[in-house]
Amino acid sequence: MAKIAAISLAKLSLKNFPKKNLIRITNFVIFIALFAVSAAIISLFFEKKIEELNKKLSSEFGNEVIYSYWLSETPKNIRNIESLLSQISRDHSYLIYMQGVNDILITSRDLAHNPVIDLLRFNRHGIKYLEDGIRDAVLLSASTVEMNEIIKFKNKLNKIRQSFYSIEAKNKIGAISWEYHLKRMTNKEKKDLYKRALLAKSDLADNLNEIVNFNIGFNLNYFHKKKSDSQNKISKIKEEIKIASKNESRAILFAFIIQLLIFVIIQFFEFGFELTERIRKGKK
Amino acid sequence: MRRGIRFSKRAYIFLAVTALFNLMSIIFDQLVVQQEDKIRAFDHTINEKRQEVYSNLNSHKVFNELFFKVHFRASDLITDLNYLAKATNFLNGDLPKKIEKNKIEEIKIIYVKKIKNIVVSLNKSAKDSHLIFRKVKQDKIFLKFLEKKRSVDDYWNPVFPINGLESDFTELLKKTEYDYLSNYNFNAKTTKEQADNYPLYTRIYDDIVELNSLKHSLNDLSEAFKEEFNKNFAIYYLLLDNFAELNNFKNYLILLSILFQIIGLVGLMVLFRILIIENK
Repeated sequence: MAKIAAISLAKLSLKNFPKKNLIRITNFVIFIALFAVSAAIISLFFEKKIEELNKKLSSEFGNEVIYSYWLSETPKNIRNIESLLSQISRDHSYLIYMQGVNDILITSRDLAHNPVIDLLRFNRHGIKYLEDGIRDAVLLSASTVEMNEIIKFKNKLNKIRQSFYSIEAKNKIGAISWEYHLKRMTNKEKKDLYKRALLAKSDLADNLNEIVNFNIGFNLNYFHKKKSDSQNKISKIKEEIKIASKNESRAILFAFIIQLLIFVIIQFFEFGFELTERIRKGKK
Repeated sequence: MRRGIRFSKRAYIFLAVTALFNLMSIIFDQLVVQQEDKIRAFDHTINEKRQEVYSNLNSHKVFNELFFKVHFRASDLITDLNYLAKATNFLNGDLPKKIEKNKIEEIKIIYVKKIKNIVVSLNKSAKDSHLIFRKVKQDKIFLKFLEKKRSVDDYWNPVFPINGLESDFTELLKKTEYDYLSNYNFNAKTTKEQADNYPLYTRIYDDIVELNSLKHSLNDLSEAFKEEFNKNFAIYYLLLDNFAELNNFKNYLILLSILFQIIGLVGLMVLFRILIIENK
């Protein structure tokens, strides 16, 4: 049994194969291995490009959270301001009518106190909201054109803020929001405060309308534009990734064809020389 | 006598090349394994951060919505209470009015019903807002965020305002369970009778104002969670960048390991070729 095995193994010995065939096999294997090397190098090159694109893609997906936040929150903010304005307007309409019927029934406190406190609070809240929007827009801006646009709106926001503080200062209505100050006032002082608050009411409402306009003019437009730009960018990057991987396969195929050609030519020369040598020897 | 395989200088060089590249392939394989461990740990961190970011955003949105809900509800209730109480007093009083007696009675029935509804609405609104607040509080990620260790000089610790708000809600709910209108005289005609109703009216009014004042804490929490979201989002964004880099690096290591393995194989084949040519 051992003898049979030894004979079988002896048959596999390299000595039993012609040298020419062995060289042909090693050449072929070297060719395959070299092809694999070139494919790996090509892959390295293209992978680098694809990964850079993937990085851009993941950062774009990250920004989507911010765009979606502003696009979903801005309409809610507008709705809340509009609800407040219509509530104040509605209440004012019937309170003023009731005051007309009997002025003891509805006092200037009823007409001014709560609406003006709400208007002041909503103005502050709205301005803070817009400031946050501008800050996020600066973080997401990608060009000088965009920055210039943001600066333009920032100046507009400064005007809204200044206008709000000047209404508050001009009418001296800051104390209305503070129960502590109100309690320390005399009835006459309170009456004067409500009178001034009533005067400031329409200006504060106008300022809130400016905030609504800003929300539409800047927050909605800017973040909507950024979102659609980002979506275009994402589809462009996806397309680039597709093209890069297609180019990778093409480059590997091209490398294979060139190497195959080189291999055939080398084989032709190697065995061609041998054949010529043998013919020359035969003639001698 | 048996002759061994003859190794030329060239064969030794290729043997060394093969060994070197195989060794490098093994080293890069090990680096890939280590990188994979790093990525696993990083993936865990990034997932936790993502959850924190979305939880902060959600908390900010819910507290903001609650702020507006409380504001509009309280504002409506105060306006209605003011108007209805004054109108009922006016209708009951002796002041001259250009309206028929039976019409006054019809309007009064509606107004009394509406005043009673205000009390029910106040309690319901406090309950609803408290329920929403508790639901946010019971969220596991939110709890994890609250339990997070904070440095002593941390600018904001959400535990205190949240506990404060919880006790304010509980207190308000207890107050709004009170039967405000059991002693309210809806037919108060004289100034004295109407003045007797005033403490009851003030009690309802104050409790609505208390509900309204909860919006300040809710707004503060909403703002604070927005700040927290901004901070965590910036960190998450950086982590995402680092994560992509780690993955890229791992891919390079894999590709380099494969490349060195193949080069090692090429070296081996060239070595065989040399041996065949030189030994046959």
